[in-house]
Amino acid sequence: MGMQFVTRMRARLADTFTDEIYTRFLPHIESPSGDLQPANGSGNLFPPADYPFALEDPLVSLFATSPEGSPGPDASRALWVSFRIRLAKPSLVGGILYSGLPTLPARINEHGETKTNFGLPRELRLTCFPEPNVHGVFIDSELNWSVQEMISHSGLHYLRTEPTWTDFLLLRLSDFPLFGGVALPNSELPNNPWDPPDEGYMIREGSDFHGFAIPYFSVFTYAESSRYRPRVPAGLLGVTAPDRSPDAGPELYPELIHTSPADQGKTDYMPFTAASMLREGRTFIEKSRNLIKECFVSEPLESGEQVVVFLEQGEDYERCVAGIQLEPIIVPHDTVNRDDVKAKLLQLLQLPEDVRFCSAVRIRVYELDPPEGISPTTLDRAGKYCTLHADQLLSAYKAAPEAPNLQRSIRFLHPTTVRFLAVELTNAGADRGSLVVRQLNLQQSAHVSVQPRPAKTQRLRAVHFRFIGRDLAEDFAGLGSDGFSISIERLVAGETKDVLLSARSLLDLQHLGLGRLFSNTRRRAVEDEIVDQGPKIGVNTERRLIQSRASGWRAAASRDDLSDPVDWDPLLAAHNGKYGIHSNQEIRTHSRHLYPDSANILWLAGGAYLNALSSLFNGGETLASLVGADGSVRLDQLFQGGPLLTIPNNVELYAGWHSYWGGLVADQESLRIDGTRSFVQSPFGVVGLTAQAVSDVIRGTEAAMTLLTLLATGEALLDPTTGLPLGIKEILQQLAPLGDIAGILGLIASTAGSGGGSLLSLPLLNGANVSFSGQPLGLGVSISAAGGLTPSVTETASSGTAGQIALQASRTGASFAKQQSSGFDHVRMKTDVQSSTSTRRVERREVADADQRVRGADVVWQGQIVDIVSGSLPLDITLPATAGRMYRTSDDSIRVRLGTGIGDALTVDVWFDVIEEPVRDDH
Amino acid sequence: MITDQVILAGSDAYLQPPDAPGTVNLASSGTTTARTPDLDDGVQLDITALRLTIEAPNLAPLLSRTGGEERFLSITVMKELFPGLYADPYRNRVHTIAGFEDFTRGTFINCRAMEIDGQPVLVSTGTGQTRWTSPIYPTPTGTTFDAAAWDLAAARLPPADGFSYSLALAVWTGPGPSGAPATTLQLASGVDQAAIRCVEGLSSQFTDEITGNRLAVRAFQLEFTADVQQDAALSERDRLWVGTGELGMGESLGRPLLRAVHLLEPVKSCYDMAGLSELLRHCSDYTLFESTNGAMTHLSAALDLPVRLVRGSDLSEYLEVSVAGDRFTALEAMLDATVLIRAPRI
Repeated sequence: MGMQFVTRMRARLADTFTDEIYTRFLPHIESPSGDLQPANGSGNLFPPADYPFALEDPLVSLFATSPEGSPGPDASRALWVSFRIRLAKPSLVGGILYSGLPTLPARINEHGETKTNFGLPRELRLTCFPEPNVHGVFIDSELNWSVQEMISHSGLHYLRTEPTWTDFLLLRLSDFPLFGGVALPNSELPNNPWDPPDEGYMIREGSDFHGFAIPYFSVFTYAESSRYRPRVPAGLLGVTAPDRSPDAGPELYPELIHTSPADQGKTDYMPFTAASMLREGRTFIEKSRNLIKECFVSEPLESGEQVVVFLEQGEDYERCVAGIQLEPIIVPHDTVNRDDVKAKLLQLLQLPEDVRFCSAVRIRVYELDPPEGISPTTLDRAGKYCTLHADQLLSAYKAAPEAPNLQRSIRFLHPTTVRFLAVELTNAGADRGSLVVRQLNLQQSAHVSVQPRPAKTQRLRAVHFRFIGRDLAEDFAGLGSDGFSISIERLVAGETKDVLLSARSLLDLQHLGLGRLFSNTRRRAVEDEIVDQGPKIGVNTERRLIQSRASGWRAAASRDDLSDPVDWDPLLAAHNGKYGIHSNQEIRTHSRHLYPDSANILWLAGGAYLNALSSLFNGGETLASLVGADGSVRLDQLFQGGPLLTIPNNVELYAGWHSYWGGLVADQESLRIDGTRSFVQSPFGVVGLTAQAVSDVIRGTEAAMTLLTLLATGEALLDPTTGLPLGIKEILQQLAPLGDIAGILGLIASTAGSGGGSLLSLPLLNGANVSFSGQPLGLGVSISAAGGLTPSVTETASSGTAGQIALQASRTGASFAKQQSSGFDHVRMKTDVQSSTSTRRVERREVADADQRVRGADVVWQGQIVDIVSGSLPLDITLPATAGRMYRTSDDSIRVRLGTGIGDALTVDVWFDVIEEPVRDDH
Repeated sequence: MITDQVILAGSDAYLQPPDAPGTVNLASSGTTTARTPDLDDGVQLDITALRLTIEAPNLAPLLSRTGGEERFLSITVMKELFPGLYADPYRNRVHTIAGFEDFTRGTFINCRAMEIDGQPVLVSTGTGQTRWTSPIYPTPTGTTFDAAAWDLAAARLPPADGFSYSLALAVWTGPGPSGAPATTLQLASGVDQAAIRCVEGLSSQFTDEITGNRLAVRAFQLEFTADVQQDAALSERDRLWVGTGELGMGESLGRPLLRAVHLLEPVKSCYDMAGLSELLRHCSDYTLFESTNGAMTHLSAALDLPVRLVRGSDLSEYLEVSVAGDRFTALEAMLDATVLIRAPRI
C-alpha cells in the first residue's frame, strides 16, 4: 500500500519532546468558515512521570502512515510491518516498553474502542532469538510473545518476556489503527467552530489513513526489584461524553476544544484531553502569544450530565489500588466573590476565559472486570461485572476559597487488583459547566491483598513472600533495620477474622517454620589474636626465588619559582624556601685555546692560506691528493689542506654541548668562535693611509679573502650562467662590488689579461705582502713578509670572539641542594616460593565492648551481597466470582499487611498462588 | 450483607409428592415423583446426601434384581451442564471435542489452534472467513446424540457484531464413514456471539423416517465456520518460528473463537435402581432393621450424592426422586443439605 515508515533514533528522552510528525496524526477540519488546525504547541509531548529509565538512555520512535485513501474494510488487519532489532551487545532481554501518542482523540465508539487507539497497533508480536545452543535449538522452545488488545491505553506498555540472552529481536506490528484525516462539517458550523454542526461531520474521502505512532520504544534487560510507592502508573482508555451529535465522529475529541484565530484565515484548536490528567499537559501558544495550559476540561455539561473516563493500570504487573487521587476544579455555589475566585482559578490554571466551572461534581469510581472478549468500556456500570468502589459529592472547598485545597483522595471500598477502572464525573451543580480535573493518579495500597473479583473465581492456594536486604540477618530480633513486620490476615466485612501469620522478627519466621533464611556468615570484626612462633612451636622456613625487572625515569627540578607539593611530608617543612643548589668549591683550571670556527670567512681564508702553504711544503703528497680516482683535479683540496691539515675547522666549543648551555645563553649560535682580528699599523710605515683608507683596505682584504675562499671552494671558477670556467679578469670583475677598494681591484683587473697570466699584490697592514697569481692551468700563491719596520709603534685593535676549553678540578667544601623530583618506576617482579614451612600457634580472644562484625559474601542477589528470607503460607481459600450465581460476600479478602511500611534497606515481594476460573454464566 | 448458612430441616428437608404437599411418604401404588422446589436467584442448596428410609413387609427379596428392568427408585439430577443446557450428568455421556489433539487433526482455513489462558482455542488469522473441519470420528459401538453445546472464548455479551459463526454436525449411520454423510445437522447457523450455545432434541434427527427406528451414528464430523469482523484481546506466548511457515509473516491474529464442542449421548443412569443392592452400592452408610419375625422391614440408608443446586440462566436446577410400584409401604427421602442465601443486587 505504499506505507511510509519513519524510524528515529533518540539519543535521550528529551529528543522526543517535540516532533512535527506528532501533528500529522491529529485531526484537521476544513470548512467554508475557516479551516481548523492544531495550535502551536500541539506537537509537544511530555513523558509520563512513571518513565522507568534514565533520561539519558537512548530509545527509538517508530511511525508509519499509509497513503491517504480508502484503505478498504479489512486493511487494518492486512497491514503489518516487521522490525529487526539488533542490540549493541548480547543482553539478558526482559521485554520491551512502548507507548502511543496520548494527544490523540479518545472517544469511545460503539465497539468499545477508540478509533486511533492512541496510535498503537492492536497486535504486537515479539520474537527473541536466543543465542544458539551449541547443541542446536529446541523445537518446542517458546520464543514468541503476542499481545492483541481491543483498546490500548495512553500510558506506557510493557511486554514481558522470559529472560532471554540475545542481541536479536523481531518485532511485528499489525492491525494498525485508523486516523481521522480531514473532517468536513455536513452543515454550517456554529459560532464556536469546533462545536459539532447539526448534521455532524463526514470524513473527506481519501483523507483518512492507517498507521501507527510510537514515540517511545525501548528494549529492557531482565532485572528484579520491588516498587513500593503510592502512585500507580495508569493510562487513559477512552472517554464517553453526552452524545448530542451522533455523527460527530470518533475522530474528534470528546473534550472541550478551545479555538483561536490563526494566520491565513485559519483557526487553531486546542483540546483539553482527559489523558493530560495522567501526565504533564501541553502548553498551547495562541497567535497573540497568550499561553494556554492543557488539562482535562469536559464539554459544557447540563446539570446531571456526566462524562466517564476509563482507565487502565499501566505497569507490568497489576497493583493493589486502594483509591484515586485527583484534583477537580469547581467553584462552589456559595463561594463569596465567585467571579473573582473563578478568574483566579482561570489564571492559575492558564485556561481560556470561556471555561465555566461546575459548582459541584459527583465522583463515582467503578472497578471493571469484563468477561473474556468484552471491552471494559462497553460494560454496564450497573451490571454484575462492575463494582462501585467510591461515590463522593464535592461541593465545597476543604479550605478557604483564597487558598483552596483542590486535591482529593478517594479511598475505595477495598483495594482492588483489576486492571480497569471507570471514573464517572457528573455535573452535580445546578448550572451548566465544564468538569475540570487537573490531575488524577491511582493510589496503591500500603498492603497487598486479594479480593473477590466479578468475573473470576479465585482459588488461593498459597501466599509467597520474599525479603531481600543487606542487613536482614544482622539481628534476629527484627526484619531488617527499619522495623519491618508482616502479617497475613483474612478480613471479612472489615473484621479481621483470622490472623494466618504474624512475624515481627526473623526469629518469628524461623520459629513458625515458614521462612527460609539465606544469610551470609558473620563473625567478629575485632579480636585479639596472639600468635606464637618459634623453634618450640615448630619449624619456620621459606625459600624464595625473586626475579625482577625495572624500568622508569626520574626528573628533578630546582628553580626559584617551584612550589612545594601539597603532599609534602610535614617533616620537610623546615626546609621551606626556594629551590636551588648552593655550593662552594675550589677550582684549578687548565685552559686550551681554540681555533675560531671556519664559518668566519677571514679565518677560513687565513686557514686556507696557511693550509695552502702547508701543502706547498709537502708538494708531492699534496699533488697526489689533488688528483681524484677518476683523474679529476680538486684544487680546493689545496686550500683545505687535504690530508695535511694545518688549521682545522673548529666547532669544538659547542659541538655536542648544545643542551648543556641551555639556560645560560638564548642563542647558542652566539657561542660560535669567530676569532679575533687584530690590525697593527706603524704610524710611520704607511703615512698616506687615513683611517678611512685603513677601513677600506680591511674590507678590501676581506673581499680578497672572500675571493680566496671562493677559489678555495671552486665556486668562483665557473660562470654562474654558462657554467664555463672564468678567467682571472672575470673573477676580479665579479669581486668589484665587494667594497670600496673597487678602484684598486679594477686597476688590478685592468692589468690582468683575459685568460692570460697576471700578477697582483695586495698590501697587508702588518707589512706583509700576499701575492696571488692566476695561471691558465692553476692557481699559484706566494707570500712574503716585508718585516724590518723597526722600530715600530703599532696600534692594535681587536674584535670578534675567542674560545677556550678549561679543564678544572674542584673539591667541594660544603653543598646544599633542594630539588623537586618526580619520577616513574615500572617494576616487574616475580617471586617463587620454592618451599615454605610455617608453624604458628594462634589464639583469639574476645575484645570487650567490641561487637562489630564482618559479613561474608556467600549470598549474592543481582550482584549485591544480601540476606534473603523466602517463605510461603498455604491458604486453600476460594473467593467466588461476584458475577457468578452465588457468593457469600464480596467483602472478603486475604491481606498481607506490611507493618508500617517498607524501608529503603529492604526489598519485599509478595505474590499469591491463584487459580482463576472465569465465570461461564454468560457464555 | 453476610447471611449465615443453615442446614435444611423440618419438612422442607423431605422430598414431597407434588399432589400431596406436606406428606413425606413417596410410596404409593403408582409412580411418585418428587423434586426439590424451584430455587430463586440468590438461593443455593448444597446437598451432600440423600437419606432414605424405606419400609416394607420384607425387604430381603428386594435386594435382588427381581423385577428385571423395572426400576423401583430413580434419581435425577438436573443441572445446567453447559450454559443454557440442562441435563442429568448421570444420564448423559459427554463427548468433548477440544484440545490440541482434536484441533490439529482437523483442517484449518484462516485459523489455527493457540493456547489462550491455558486452554487451546481456535483463533482466527487473517481476515474474513474462517473454517475448521474436524476429522471424522468413528463411534465403535454406534451411538446417538441428544444435545450439543459448544464453548466459545468470547462471552455472549455485546458487542454482537464482533463475529458470526456456524456449527454443523455431519453424521454417518452406515457401517463406515464412506461417501457423503447421512445427514448434516446445523447446530448453529450464522449466529452472533450473543446466541445461545446449545441445542437439544437432536435424537429426533436420527430416526429412520420409514421404520421410525432410531439410527445409530457410526461416525460424525464437525465443521465450524466464522466471519470475523472485530478482533478481541489476547495475550499469549507460543513457540512459533517465523521462518517455519507455521504462521506466515503476513498473518495477523484475529479472534479467539471455538474452545470446545460437547455432544451429549444419552446413557443409562446408575441411579436408576431395580434392586436394593444397587441402592446400597451408592450408600456410605445403611442399616437394615429386622422385625421380631426375622424379616427385614426397615432400611435406613445415606445415599452420597453431592449436588449443588442453584437457579440457572433461566430455570432452576433440581433433584428428583421417582418411586415406582407398590413394593414399599413407606419411602421417605430427606436431604442432607445446607441453604445459602444471598440477596441479589438491585
